[in-house]
Amino acid sequence: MHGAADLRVNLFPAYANQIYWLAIGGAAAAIVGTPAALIAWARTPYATGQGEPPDQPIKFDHRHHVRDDGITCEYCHGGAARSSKAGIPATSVCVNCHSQIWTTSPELAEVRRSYFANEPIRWKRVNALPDFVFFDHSAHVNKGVGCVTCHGRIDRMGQVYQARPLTMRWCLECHRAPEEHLRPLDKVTDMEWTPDRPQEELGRELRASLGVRSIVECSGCHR
Amino acid sequence: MTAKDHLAAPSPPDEDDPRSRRAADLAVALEDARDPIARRDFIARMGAAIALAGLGACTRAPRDEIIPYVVQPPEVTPGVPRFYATASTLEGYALGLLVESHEGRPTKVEGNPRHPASLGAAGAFEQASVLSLYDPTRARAVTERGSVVAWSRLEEALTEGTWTSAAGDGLHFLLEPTSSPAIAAVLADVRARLPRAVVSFHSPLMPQNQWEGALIAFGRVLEPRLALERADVVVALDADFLTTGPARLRLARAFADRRSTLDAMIRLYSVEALYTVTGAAADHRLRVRAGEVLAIAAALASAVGLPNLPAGVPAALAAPAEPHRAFIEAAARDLAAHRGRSVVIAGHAQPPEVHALAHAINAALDNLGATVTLAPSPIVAAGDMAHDTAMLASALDAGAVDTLVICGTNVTYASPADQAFTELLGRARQTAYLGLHEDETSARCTFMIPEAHALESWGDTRAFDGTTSIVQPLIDPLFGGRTALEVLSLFSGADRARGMIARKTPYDLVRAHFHDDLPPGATRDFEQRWRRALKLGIVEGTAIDPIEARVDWAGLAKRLARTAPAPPPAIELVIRPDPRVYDGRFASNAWLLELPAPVTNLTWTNAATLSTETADMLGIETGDELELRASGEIVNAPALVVPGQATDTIGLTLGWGRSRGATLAHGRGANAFALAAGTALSPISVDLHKTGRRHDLALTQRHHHLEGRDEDILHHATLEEHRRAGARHDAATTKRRLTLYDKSPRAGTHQWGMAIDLTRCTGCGACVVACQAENNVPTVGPDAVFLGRAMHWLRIDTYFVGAPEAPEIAPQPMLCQHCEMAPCEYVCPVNATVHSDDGLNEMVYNRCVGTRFCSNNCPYKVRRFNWFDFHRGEDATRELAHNPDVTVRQRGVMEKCTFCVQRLREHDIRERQGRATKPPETACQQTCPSRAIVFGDLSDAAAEVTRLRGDDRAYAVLDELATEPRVRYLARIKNPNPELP
Repeated sequence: MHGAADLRVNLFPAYANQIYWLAIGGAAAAIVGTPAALIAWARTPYATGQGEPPDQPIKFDHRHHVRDDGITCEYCHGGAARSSKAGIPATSVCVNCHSQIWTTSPELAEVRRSYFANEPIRWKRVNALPDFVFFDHSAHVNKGVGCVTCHGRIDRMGQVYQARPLTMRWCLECHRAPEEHLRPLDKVTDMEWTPDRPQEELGRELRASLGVRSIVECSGCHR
Repeated sequence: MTAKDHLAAPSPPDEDDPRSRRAADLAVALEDARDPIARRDFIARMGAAIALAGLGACTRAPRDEIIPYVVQPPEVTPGVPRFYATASTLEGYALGLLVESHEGRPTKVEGNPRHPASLGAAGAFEQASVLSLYDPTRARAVTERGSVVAWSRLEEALTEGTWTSAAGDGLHFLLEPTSSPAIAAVLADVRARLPRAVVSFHSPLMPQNQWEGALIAFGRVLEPRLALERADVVVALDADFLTTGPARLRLARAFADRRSTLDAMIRLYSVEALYTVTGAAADHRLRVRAGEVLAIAAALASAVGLPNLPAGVPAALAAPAEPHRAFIEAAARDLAAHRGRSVVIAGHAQPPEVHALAHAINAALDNLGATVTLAPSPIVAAGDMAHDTAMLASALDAGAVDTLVICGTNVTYASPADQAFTELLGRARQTAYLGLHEDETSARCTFMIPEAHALESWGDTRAFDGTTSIVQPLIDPLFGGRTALEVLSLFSGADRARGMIARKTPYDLVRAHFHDDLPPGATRDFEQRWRRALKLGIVEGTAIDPIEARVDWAGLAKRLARTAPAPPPAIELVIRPDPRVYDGRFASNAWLLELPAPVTNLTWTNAATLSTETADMLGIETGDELELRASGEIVNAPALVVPGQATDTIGLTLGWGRSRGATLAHGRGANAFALAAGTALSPISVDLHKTGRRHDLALTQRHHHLEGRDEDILHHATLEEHRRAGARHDAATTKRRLTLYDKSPRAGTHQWGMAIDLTRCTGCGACVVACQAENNVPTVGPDAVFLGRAMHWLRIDTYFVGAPEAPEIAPQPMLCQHCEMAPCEYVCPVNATVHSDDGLNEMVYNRCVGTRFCSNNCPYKVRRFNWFDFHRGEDATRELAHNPDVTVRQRGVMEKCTFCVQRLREHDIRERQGRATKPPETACQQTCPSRAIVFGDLSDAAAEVTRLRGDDRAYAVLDELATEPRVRYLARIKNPNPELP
């Protein structure tokens, strides 16, 4: 006869309890942790593409053109003041100068090819927003938001990279309190400008004189 | 191919029709077509997807490219749209347009406020023309019997033939009716060099009867020009003047202006067979068979009295109108009481005698020169029978045609079957067809030449009043298209004389003719005048002056004495142009195919319409397939019961049942051309019986009764009632409401609102297409429309008011009401629909997770859900039509009218920078021919919208729900004759 003792054979080893609790805990951590990790990950510079210059067809050096040559931003990105798009200069804008200087430089071979073959230069986009975001340069540039505020120290970039996270949270930080980031209109393209008095005070004044609104309604950007 | 080949293939019978089953089938079919993963594999794949999701996140989207210009045109700033004036042409008559262009890509068409036929408005056809431009199914290459050949081969072949040594004998041209001065000049050139070449003009809908009517009445071809702004009483004899004819938009504006002026309200009597937009706008509508209108016209003439007509109106002619005596006499008295301030209008489909009688009545009432003026037609060779297609047909039949060049008219399809062009075209030695699509006609021709779309062409064209517009291209021909002007100039003498084929570009040709047409002495500032003409969209001073015309009473009497109307058939087939595809030329345009037809709300097909009485008598219900037999041909069409149509008539619109060249429309609807005889529009006898099969008609509205809720939904009253009730309509809206919310608007912001005047709205549907074009609204196809999933942000609800068998039809545009207390906003779990400071009910696509709670809670049912990715897999050409300022929505997202928020934000930005800007207009408002829609800033006391909101006709739909909508309607007021019941 089989005794009752046979039924009391331990099916699970003694450490099964620990595994049980670990599994429960692990599952709970995964449920909470996975979304949290993904959310956190999406905000890392790696995910937002911050700080990484893409490979461009021409090694255009803003340091040289902005700092050494003193060319203003609007010479090439003239749409910024009157259009939603700042614009990438046409090849002919490059050729304005480079028909005179560095005419045989191998670095500029692509410019010459583009100009004479009448084929555009295919640049890689650095600052990309999702398709459902409608950003307008003119609305910012004409209201005292400096180029450097969003694009960083372009004058120090050998190759242009995305300087800010460009997340919605980052946009809203400024939209909720624009006075913290405003500068006089004649300093908009100035890369090195710093306020000569407390930004708080200057910002408040500028906000009033320029009529800067705090746009936080959805259709301000999403249409 | 005989006409039978055009017969519509009936869609398969649908025995068990549970809608859920169709929904499931549609879902699977659509999904399978677009998605390599079948829906049923979803769970399995989803498991793997979740497991791998973490890994998937380790890659990033590839970088976009930015592609600047090589040399940026100085006038272009990327991101800032430009507008160019041009013109579109229908039946040869111009309509001036302003076209929006984004970096060289036309995206939106508006009317040109300076153009006499547009006055700033555009109709559904014009609004949809952008989509036709980017139609990926357009013809792309010159072909000879189906094989691609070079243009030079075509030039060589066409300009050689037996006719070269016979002064053009054997050379025939078949053109669309045209008013182009440049084409007229080239034709004159060709005729000078080749005097025996024959030019014919063909369009199934050209106003031939109108021209002949004038010939009877005045002894010459003249066109009536109506000045409705000066008229108090209008009688329309089968004339749908609000939506057809070359001045339709202008007339709609004038009519609406006189309609909403309650102190001097115009009165409209309409006599018609089918229910048209004009009939719906009428104060009194007499429904008679189309063949009886002549009798009505005669009876009306005799009741008004034509003292100068020898022997008066023949009694036999007017006798059949006896049953309608009360209507006719009341109308006649009303006309007589408004001498010089009334007008009788005859419809294009009516025989010349009706037009002549209308002229005679207008003359007897001193209306000529007051409310109607007469002027020569801007159309080349208007009414000249030497250019009739009958000549061409007999020449083809006799084998006397060597080379036939057809420009733009799909004659094989769009002519009555008894003209047999399908078969006759094969009798010419060689035929060339210039067309947008490889269609029914190109299949019968030796050469196919892709045609340039109007937005790709240089050309010129004239409005109904003769005002010339230069047609300028917005873009280079996408598919290498050519224009009729280019093809015809191959034959013009000047260049051939030098022994070479014309190498002039269309630009040169148009400029040359513009130069030649300048008054002497003005050529010195040619360049300045040319630029001004391009900028304005019209050439000033080119209108044709009206002339003083006297009725030839003796001639008219003779003609009337000879006229013996045929006895009416038992059941009459009434064929009319289609409000969506016209004569079939727009059948490749999805926006128009899915546009609900005014009055019936039918999409994606035509139908044999019949009145309630006729349907009852024959035991027919909506959806039954009918076999129609007329002129010895048989066509199957689904039945659609339209209350208010004349009894014993079957209505059928042209343009459906296409078999080639309109992929989207193939096999949809019934081809009315197959049944037509003589001219396409003359009424004929028809036999019909049910086949026993059923069709699911893609109707956007199936219930038309207000169920006694007129006061909640659509206020309507007679002028008399309205005056008696005083400020009744807005009584409800002024009630004080209790609310816990602080609704005081933020200072310094605009407060956007809209007012829609139902007294002005005709329900033509232009706004629906304008909205679709502006806001990237997808088309969904007939199955989805059948399931109630149409995506139009703005729809036109149609309500039947009054007697069920002959109701008054009242259209009501319905769009997001932008409620201040919006029911949708309370229920969204993710805050995807919220309110803006300036009073918009915003829809945030990127937040929406697709619960559809908002749609369920919306009392106006104006929210639309993307069941599928309608834009995915779109042809790259088609994508060019998108408005870059509006998100292209994807599957699982709710959407709805935004008050064209992209325009409002653009306006805000410009305004805050102190840059020039006009008050913003919504797309529907901008295009509305009758200016029924007014949008504006409610915080501006001087704004039109603020004034209308305070009007005593203003009310809110479903006011008792206290949603406080920002859209207000103005009650529909009619002005009936107290003499008539």
